[in-house]
Amino acid sequence: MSPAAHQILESARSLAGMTFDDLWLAYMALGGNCPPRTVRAYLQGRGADEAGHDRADYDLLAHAINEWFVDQGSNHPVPYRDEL
Amino acid sequence: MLGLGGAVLDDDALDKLLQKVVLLALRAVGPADAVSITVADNGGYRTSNSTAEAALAIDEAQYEGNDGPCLQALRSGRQVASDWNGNGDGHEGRWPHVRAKAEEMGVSAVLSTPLLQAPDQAIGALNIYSRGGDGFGEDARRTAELLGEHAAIVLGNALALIGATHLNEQLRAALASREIIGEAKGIIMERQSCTRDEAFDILRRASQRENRKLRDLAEELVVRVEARRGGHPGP
Repeated sequence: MSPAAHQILESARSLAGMTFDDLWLAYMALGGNCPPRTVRAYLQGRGADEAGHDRADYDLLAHAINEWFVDQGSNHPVPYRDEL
Repeated sequence: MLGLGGAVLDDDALDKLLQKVVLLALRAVGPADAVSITVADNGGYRTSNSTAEAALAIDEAQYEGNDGPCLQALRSGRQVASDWNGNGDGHEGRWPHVRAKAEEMGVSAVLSTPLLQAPDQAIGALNIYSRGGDGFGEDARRTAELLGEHAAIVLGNALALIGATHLNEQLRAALASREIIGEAKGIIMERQSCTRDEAFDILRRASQRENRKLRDLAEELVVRVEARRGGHPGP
């Protein structure tokens, strides 16, 4: 069984060396609307019916992590919803 | 922890406050002949204030050797006293590189007091050097502790201020990015008759394809459209 979407994001965040605050700020800068606690809860597998349940929020978070990776020389390693 | 960047150490107000602490220590701690403050700075150490060249020189010998009474106080969170001669807190003789510099400077004893932000978190050290042979007694240690507490508050507040300023700048940049991306999505929605999420997808795919920041692509789009309409980008 493939990992749940939120697990993919959480491992990527951790691998990228981003804190939750880093991720939330980047997500908000891309246009994300959920508050930090909601994003954190989603990544930790709680409250999945809020952020991330929504396809757009998943992609915003994935893109926020991808741009962090781009800064480190990787090219968008985190899959988007339509690639899952 | 946020490091003390150049901005902090250049800060006149902080510098003056810490300078008062070292001057006060020089007067208030009996055997003191030179005093300095070491600050933990982005994983390294530096002397932010000192009353004499000797203090700075002995501090720097410790940073270079990455060990010594000041760093020991900083790392352990406990006061460290040493006279380099076998009397003190049991650290004597462990720092030959520091001892050599101290002897060169005529300094015979040191008392380093950690500047504690929390019981297990030192953000700096107050270093008191003495040329006299008697070392530091109980009174001197207690006075140094009180001054160390004061310096820790000054330094801790400065760090909190830097943290808040840094966050403020990050938020400002994030909001600016959010706004330009919002404008770009509006343009795409109008052109393609699509939804907001679809507009984001278009930008996101372009960002991935070109391996460039989505924000930069959004800005280019907005600037291009503004130019074509004869307007000026941004207020």
